[in-house]
Amino acid sequence: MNTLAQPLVSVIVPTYNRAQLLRRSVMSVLAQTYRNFELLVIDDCSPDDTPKIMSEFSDSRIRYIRLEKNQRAARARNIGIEMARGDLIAFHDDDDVWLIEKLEHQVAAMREAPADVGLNISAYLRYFSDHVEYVGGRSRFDAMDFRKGPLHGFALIATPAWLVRRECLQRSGGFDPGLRSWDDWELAYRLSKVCRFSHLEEPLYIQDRATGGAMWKNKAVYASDMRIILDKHGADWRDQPRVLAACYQLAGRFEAQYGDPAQARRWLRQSLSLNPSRWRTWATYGLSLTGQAAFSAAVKTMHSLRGNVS
Amino acid sequence: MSADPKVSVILPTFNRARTLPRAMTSVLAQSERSLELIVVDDDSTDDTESVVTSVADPRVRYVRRTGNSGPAAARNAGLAVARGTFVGFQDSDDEWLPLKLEKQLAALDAAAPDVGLVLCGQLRWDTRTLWYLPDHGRTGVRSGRLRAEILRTNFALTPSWLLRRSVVERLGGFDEALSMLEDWEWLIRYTERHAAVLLDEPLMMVWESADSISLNHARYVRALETIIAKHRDALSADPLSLANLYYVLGKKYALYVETTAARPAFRKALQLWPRDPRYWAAFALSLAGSRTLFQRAWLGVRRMKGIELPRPERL
Repeated sequence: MNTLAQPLVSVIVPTYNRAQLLRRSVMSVLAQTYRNFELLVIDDCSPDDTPKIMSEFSDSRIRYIRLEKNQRAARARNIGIEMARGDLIAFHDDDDVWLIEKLEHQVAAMREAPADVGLNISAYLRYFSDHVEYVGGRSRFDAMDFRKGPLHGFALIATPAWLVRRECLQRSGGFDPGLRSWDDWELAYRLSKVCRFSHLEEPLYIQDRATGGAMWKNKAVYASDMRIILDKHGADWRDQPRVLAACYQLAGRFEAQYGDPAQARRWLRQSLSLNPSRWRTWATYGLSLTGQAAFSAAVKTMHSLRGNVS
Repeated sequence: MSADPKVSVILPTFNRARTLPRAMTSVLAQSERSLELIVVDDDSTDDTESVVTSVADPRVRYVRRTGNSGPAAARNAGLAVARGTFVGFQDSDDEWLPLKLEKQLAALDAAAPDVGLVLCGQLRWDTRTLWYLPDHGRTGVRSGRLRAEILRTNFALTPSWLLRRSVVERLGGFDEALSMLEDWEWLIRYTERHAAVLLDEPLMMVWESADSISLNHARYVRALETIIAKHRDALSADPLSLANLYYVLGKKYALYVETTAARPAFRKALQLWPRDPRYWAAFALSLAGSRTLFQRAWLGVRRMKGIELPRPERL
């Protein structure tokens, strides 16, 4: 096989307690039309029958790694990156399904791209129990600009949509294990400083939100994650006070709704000092004085008045 | 070859060498390994033959027909040589997800013995728009006889089917007089007496292309007229469905073929089901005799309903 034209891809799947779904996810990798890959399944110490499900596969391209203790997906992915032998790395989730030409199209795109392109992001489909969504598209990708602030373009950045050069990951560092929800965005942000991105408009995987569902039940993590991101990177937007003010406002809102009201007020004061003309921040600040329960009730009422759900 | 496979998968194809590897690989990569893949080449002029015969999997069988005779005849040719207890169909543009056969076989296993057909949900993508079929909410079908649902919204193309082969032997194959909608016509015959099950989750992906066969409107109206004529007695038992068929026929005539030819169809729909205001509106519009006017009105209604446009990004 011509290894220049068909480079080895390391596919990393962190998994925890999803034995049945994992089987479907692994099958969708083994079905790929692009054959030259290794599949690293990083079992984050699942107590269910994940080891048994994995033992039923006989494909020699699978490397099954069972962690001694649970350390969450970010660390599991980093362990995968360290063990990877391929120059290209793809990530997959245990509840998602790849379409079978995903690697083929992304490897081809990477080969045709200039050398400074280090990350290819494909479009993908989201399947919910009552509707479907297409996530991607040239115009949305072109509009993705990290100067616009933290979490900008977040929906486009889902790790199963990535094919990334290992060398770029080594230069940017891996996933931040301190983050629980926006670790993919935060790594993409660091990657954007070492390489350029490219995009494929063709949807190449299916995110199954009807049975999978990746949202955190404990929403307090959003508040602490926003804090971590602002602590790490906030200085990058220091010349854009309105952007930062909006982030502090969001952090304050999450904190007031799910975390510590006193901390929330500190965030909101910071937001107001950057942009005192935003009436919503004042309203949030006022509400945060009323305590968590009243705050949550007020947010819910506002959302139902506007007819959307967050 | 050893024992007969559990499932025969029949893939009729014509000049689609480019997309065929994806369609074939997605069948051969199924978690259910006991299958044969019968590729029926409907006299292609591209390199379909070499694409198929270069696949190094003993489960692939290549059948070449001389003289292009359409998907109905090609599928029947596949059925004639099929050896599996169950039969599935694949199309050259489509992609099965890896657990499709496994889940459909399990559903047949769990169903009552008179159930000979399992359908599944399909994701469809045409480079601009994404749908899920059967349409969430609108169709509302889950299981049972499914006849009314299939008559009203032709939501199940052959690649979403899994059949007991004995059913095909009893009912016969596809009607070769039809150049399209032959799958739907078969379902009309099947649902007359038999129950089906729908697995309401996406187990396959339809990659629509601009030259997809379903875009030929003149052939569509001809096929629909043939089917209505063939099944008029059985369809009359469900006047609402029959009225809806005439309405669809009229709309196709008015939008794409000849507006005056739409009038008799709309009139029949009204005779059968006079309560539906859409039928009156369409009939009135067709009296004006202008295709442009009809198309404008139709697009306006679609826009009002908010069809098309994918949802905007939301954080």
